[in-house]
Amino acid sequence: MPSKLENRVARITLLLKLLLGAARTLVNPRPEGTIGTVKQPRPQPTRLRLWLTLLLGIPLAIPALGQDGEATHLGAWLHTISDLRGPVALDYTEGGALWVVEADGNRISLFGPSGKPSRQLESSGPWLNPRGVAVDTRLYVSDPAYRRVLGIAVEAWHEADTVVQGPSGLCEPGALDAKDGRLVIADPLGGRVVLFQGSKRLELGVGLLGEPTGVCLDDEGGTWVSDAARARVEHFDPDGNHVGGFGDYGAFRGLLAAPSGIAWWNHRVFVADRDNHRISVHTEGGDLLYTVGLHALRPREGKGLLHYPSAIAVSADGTRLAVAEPLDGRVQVFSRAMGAEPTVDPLRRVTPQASAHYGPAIRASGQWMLLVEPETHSVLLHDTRRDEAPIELTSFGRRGSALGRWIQPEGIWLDLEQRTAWVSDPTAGILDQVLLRIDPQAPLNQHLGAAAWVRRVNLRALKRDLGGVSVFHDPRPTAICRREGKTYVIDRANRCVLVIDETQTCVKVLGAGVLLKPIDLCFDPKGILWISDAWQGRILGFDPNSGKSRGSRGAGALQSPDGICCDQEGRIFVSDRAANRVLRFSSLGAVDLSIGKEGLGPEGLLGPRGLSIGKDGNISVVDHGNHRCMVFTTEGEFVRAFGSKLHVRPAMQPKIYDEWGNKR
Amino acid sequence: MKASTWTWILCLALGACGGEETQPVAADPPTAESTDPKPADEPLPLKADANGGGFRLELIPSPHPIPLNRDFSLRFRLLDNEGQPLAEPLKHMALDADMPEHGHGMKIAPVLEEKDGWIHASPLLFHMPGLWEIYVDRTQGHVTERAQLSFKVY
Repeated sequence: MPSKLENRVARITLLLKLLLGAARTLVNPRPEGTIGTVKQPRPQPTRLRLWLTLLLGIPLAIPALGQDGEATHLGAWLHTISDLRGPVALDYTEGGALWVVEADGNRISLFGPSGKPSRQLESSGPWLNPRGVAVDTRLYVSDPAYRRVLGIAVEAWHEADTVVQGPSGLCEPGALDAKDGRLVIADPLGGRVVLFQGSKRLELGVGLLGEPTGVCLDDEGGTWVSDAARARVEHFDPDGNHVGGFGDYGAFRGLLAAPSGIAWWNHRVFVADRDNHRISVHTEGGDLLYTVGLHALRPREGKGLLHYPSAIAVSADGTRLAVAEPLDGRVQVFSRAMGAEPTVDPLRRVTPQASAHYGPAIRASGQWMLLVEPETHSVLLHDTRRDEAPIELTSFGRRGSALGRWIQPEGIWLDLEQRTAWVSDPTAGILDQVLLRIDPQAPLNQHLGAAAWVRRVNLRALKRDLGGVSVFHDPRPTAICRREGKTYVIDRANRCVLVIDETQTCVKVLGAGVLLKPIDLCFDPKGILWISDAWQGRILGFDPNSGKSRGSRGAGALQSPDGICCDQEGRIFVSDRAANRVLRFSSLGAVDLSIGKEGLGPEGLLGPRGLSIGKDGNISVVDHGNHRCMVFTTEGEFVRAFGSKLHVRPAMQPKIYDEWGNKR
Repeated sequence: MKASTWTWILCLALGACGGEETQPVAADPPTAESTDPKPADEPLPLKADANGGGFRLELIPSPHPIPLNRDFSLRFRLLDNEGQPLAEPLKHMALDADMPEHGHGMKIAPVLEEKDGWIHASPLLFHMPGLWEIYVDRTQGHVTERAQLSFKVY
């Protein structure tokens, strides 16, 4: 046991260290965006190299890993490419230029090594909605709307040729990589990866992969896949055989929550862990070397702080690491820095954690309101009887595959009279019915463990001839709507709506062959089923009995329609995720109101998703990118916000808090 | 205060946290109205309707009441709505237990065996005091239904 003297010495040493650290921060604040610069063996040469890189754009000024005996890491923030429209994929050219796919802008942009834009391929090109990009001898672009991958000679890009075409081949091609004549395509909805090597076509990970969202090739012909659903990274040899992998679900260092993007360089595996808001760097055996980036807690924080990093690329010389963050519309570029790994900013550790996001779905029934909380893989039941922020009654579900757990809940439906909720999990392909054992008239209280699972319907076990329509892919159920005892659920993989009766049998399929990316659905008072289609940029109406089209709305006005709901007067509200607003369509079909704009104030929205009209007639909008829900009157007046305190303050108290959540 | 005094206080505090006292257990079929467990003298077998009403569950824990932090076993069978035993293949059944108020389950997974018209499950372990729920899931085709019983373990 330490003596009194030893204790005192230790306390004094700790105090001195803290004071010294604070003084350093005041005198010489850490370079913006670097993730800790406290421990640097030789700060001057590093700073000189940084300036040389910034001024002259000479990446060689910074040593690559292992060169000249110095330990360096990729993780010092260099610059940010901002004002992008939903960057979802990127890849470096041999010369260090960066191609970025902007999904919401339907374009692919090229940026020079210093981050300056140099070229833009616009959406009037051959693709409808680009998703992945890879550079080899040509530029390869995945076009999930047409289930194909295009090969493009940049100088004649209007004459792109189709390299791979679905639907029997690909369900929805996403991330790509190309190297030495090999092309590898991730098919997240198909649960597999397709590798092309000359005339050879190999399917990788069938039956193993859940949702492969990232893919990359190494120098030895191997393929690396990040599987967001299974929180795993898998490795395949050049013949497509599975040879190993690593990863387990969790938030601690070394664990993965949603590995979304992946890159390989010099026997290092870089993983963009979306839900842990960081980049993990591993050996090929899976050992964690270090992590880059901390969770951006305050709204729009960046400069090395990350918010849902989704895609990643490492330059050919290993001196640059680019990270795409679609929600914040930016790509952050990191460079090499001294030391084997970044040191953690000690001040950052005491910052309070931000609350989880909401969304995508929200549903109300009577005084109850149901919300999905994606990061906890659970569903929250709120009571809205008070004229204030709703009270959370209970939450149910957690991550897993058994009954009572979900990999990623997405669609929800709520029926107060039956005290029942329905929840879909597209990754598992299931639809759950849950009894909520709560008396709606009881005084407001927490009801832990109030949910009892009634049944689970495994849509993947249904026959392939659903309601008389053949389907190619395993169903991925998302948004849910119920009417007259039937459940209408969107199947994203097969781009249709499945109609399921009380016997849990699929009796009809709506919209097959018409829909491209159905997101949400609702009924209007006349009984027409309206479906929002993100890739068509409009909402489509269907007769639920005959399946015939009943027109469409929003073409030209909507960019990426998402949530949809309808009021008693037949007015339809649609959230536009890419345009950060909600549009109201009159019963005649014209846009007569626009609610919200990008921001955090009382009108602010960032990537709005689900919508629902509550008992009080107000409309609740899942403000997904802002960690909160916004409540407006149907005339567009702000009522209240609830959710993460940091993000709610600027809306509720705009005179006190600015757009960044700081006190004015 | 001296370091030795703190050590004594710590030892006393740790001692107070220990112990494996076994207390009576109650069981209750879930309803939409209540999850309150019934008294420990509930006659065996314990009975519950499936949450969706598709079948009935009869369950006998051993020992009864269920002990805290000690292995136990149980046997159960499924009946149709007329009370006739269902000849259900074992592979279509699953049994698990959870603490719904805590959001976690058991630390062990029981093995199921069919014998004498009953399905025997062991070992099970309720390692914490509080409300536990035992779930029996039955899968038919593409639909899985659940029956459950609540237990308060002290």
